[in-house]
Amino acid sequence: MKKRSTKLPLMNTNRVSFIGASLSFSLIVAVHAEDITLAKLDVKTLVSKMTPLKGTTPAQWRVVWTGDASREATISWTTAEPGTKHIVHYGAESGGDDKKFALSQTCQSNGAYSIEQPKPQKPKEGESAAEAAKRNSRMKISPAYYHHARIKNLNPDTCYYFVLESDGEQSREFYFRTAPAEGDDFTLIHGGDSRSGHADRCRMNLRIAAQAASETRVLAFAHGGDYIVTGSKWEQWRLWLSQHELTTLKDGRVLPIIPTKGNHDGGKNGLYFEVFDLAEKTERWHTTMLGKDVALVTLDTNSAAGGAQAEWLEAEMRRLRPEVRWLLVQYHRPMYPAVKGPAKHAPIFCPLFDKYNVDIALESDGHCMKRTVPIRDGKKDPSGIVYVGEGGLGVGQRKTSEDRWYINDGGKAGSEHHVIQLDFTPDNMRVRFILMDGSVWDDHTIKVRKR
Amino acid sequence: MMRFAVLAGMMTIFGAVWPVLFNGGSAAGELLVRTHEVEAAGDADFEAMMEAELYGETGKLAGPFVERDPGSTTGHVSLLRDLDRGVAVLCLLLVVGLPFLCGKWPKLAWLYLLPAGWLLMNAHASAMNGGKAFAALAVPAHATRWGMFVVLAMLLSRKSQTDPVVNWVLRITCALTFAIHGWEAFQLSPPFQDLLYATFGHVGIGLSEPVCHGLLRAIGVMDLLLALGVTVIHFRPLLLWMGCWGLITAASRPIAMGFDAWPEFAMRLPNSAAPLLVVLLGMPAALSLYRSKSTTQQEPAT
Repeated sequence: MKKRSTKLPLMNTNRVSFIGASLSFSLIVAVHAEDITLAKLDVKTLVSKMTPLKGTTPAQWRVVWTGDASREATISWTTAEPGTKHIVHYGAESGGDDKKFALSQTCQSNGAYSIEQPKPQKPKEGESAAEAAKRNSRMKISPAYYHHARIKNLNPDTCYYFVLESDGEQSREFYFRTAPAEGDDFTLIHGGDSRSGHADRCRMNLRIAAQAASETRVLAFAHGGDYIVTGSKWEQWRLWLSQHELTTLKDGRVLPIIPTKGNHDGGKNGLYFEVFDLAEKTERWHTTMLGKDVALVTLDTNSAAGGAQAEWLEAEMRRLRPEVRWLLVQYHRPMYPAVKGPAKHAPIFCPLFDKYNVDIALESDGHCMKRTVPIRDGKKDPSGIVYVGEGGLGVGQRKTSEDRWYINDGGKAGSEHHVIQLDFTPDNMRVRFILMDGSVWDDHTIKVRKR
Repeated sequence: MMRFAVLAGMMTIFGAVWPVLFNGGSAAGELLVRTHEVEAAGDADFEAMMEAELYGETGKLAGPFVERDPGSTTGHVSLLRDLDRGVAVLCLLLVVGLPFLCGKWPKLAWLYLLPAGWLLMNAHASAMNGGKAFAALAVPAHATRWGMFVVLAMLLSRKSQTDPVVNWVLRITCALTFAIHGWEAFQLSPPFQDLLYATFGHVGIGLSEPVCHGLLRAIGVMDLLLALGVTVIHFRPLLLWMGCWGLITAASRPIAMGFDAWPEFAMRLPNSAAPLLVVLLGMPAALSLYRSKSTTQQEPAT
């Protein structure tokens, strides 16, 4: 069996070759898109592309990035039974048919998801107590178990192939690409608010996969929060996780996810933290280093802006700004919203964004599309920060308030499902809103700041 | 006293209606739209089918997954949003117009129950929508808001300022609002923390986290004691302090967030007005409830 190369095809080669590769991938996407008709979704066909939760079969895989994306990743999955031995086999070469890999890592964290069972319902009219009990037992939510393998010491800009194994049951082979050690020749996809509208959520997941397949530069997917409606309900998380499998490319490529917590993702049982393997007390906000030139600072608009978060943010930005070419922030509730009122975090966060010359702020929550004019100190300023986003990964879209100054006179707002594609180059960051059908709603370029 | 109550009611409704007209709708409107969208998207059937296929759970009856035409959904959503705005404007018009009409037709004052019901419904919808800290407690937390219009209905229809029911509606709504806010403060509600950080920041004081937490805990205990106090004893300085404190906390919103947050101040004015109305009524609290009733019986309705 011929081993696959560790680098993505034509990565880091000249631009002509890159365009050629993109065209070839577009053809693959066209073929792939025929599998599922986006306009009229067939649930059975969709489900056939997901992995049922059964026994110790690894399902609901995801790669999570919250630290140094060049050298670390957390590979997570779910099983229906607890199992005893959970390992990820990985390496910089494909394992081939016999799935032999150079390295393996036993999961450091395993456990049962915290599930709140629905309250038993009383017998309906004409229903016996035994029948009601039977109905209630059918309503019971099956347990599920998370497994997190934190892998370290990876090589930058390298494809890592991996297979998940739980008690001898193996997944198919997947792979992801680590961030480059330096330089910014890659693309990041951002999107938020997948909390309702299952069909559109699935369509947007397929769109994300299509974007990644058509542009090999796509490195990761940053989710702006509000994955589901009620963060304490496992039955909602498991559907989101199963549907997230649709973002996996046909060749097994997984886009690492950089998570943000939305206002609907909370809950006393802490499922959000179990899903993404985050420590509730210390990892509500974090920085993902995409190489040494791009930093994505993730904030939590469910926690107080002031106090510990503001102190951390200031220290982090003071450290990062002189070092990185691109300093990005992402959080859930918008500071300059196109629909609702601004987040109460704005008086604390925005002055810090201004002070440290953030390059772009990625927002969600409003269920619309928005790109503001550059803003500094609450006013339009060419040297200011552009706030983009507001979330459209499935949730119903809202009408924007067109009269707001920051979306007029150079800004823009609309209402469509979308993802934002950020293409980095040494001189520019190209920000494109990609709609469900692949068309571009907005194409904006932000120039690199002088250092 | 009537004028004070009427004015407070007007300010409250202006604050509540403004975001509905200019900031994306009311909580009830949001709930209606979301329910419709989820239904139109066929989420329940989609979920049921996927649960059966992926997790082997057949508890929910799975019908065929049917998605409505997006065009018809958009039209329906637009209608719901117009309805939401229409109800808000109707409430505003009622609150502004009723004081003039009630002089001639006192029975019309019962129409104040419409804005009361609207605010109560919105509080309930906030709880249903979730997504905010302590959202589940929105109905009692907003008690002074909807209670203010119940009081106005009673005050203007009966033209009696010694009605023990008015006294108790005010005291209980004050107690509910202060108790819930106290509990939220004691639990270190993140939005409350930010109000403290931003307000102190405006006067050049950088609050450290331990100090902020300590202050919030103290405020929480104070609010809980005030909630208890307003139902148990009639003590004017305590009620006056509740009025002042309600005003300070309402004003902290525009102070922290800028003048654009004035609706947040306006809709919280009843937190100040309700205890002050209790002072103006001058009627006894729990321990002297029966004496209060007999006092009312002695005075014929005026």
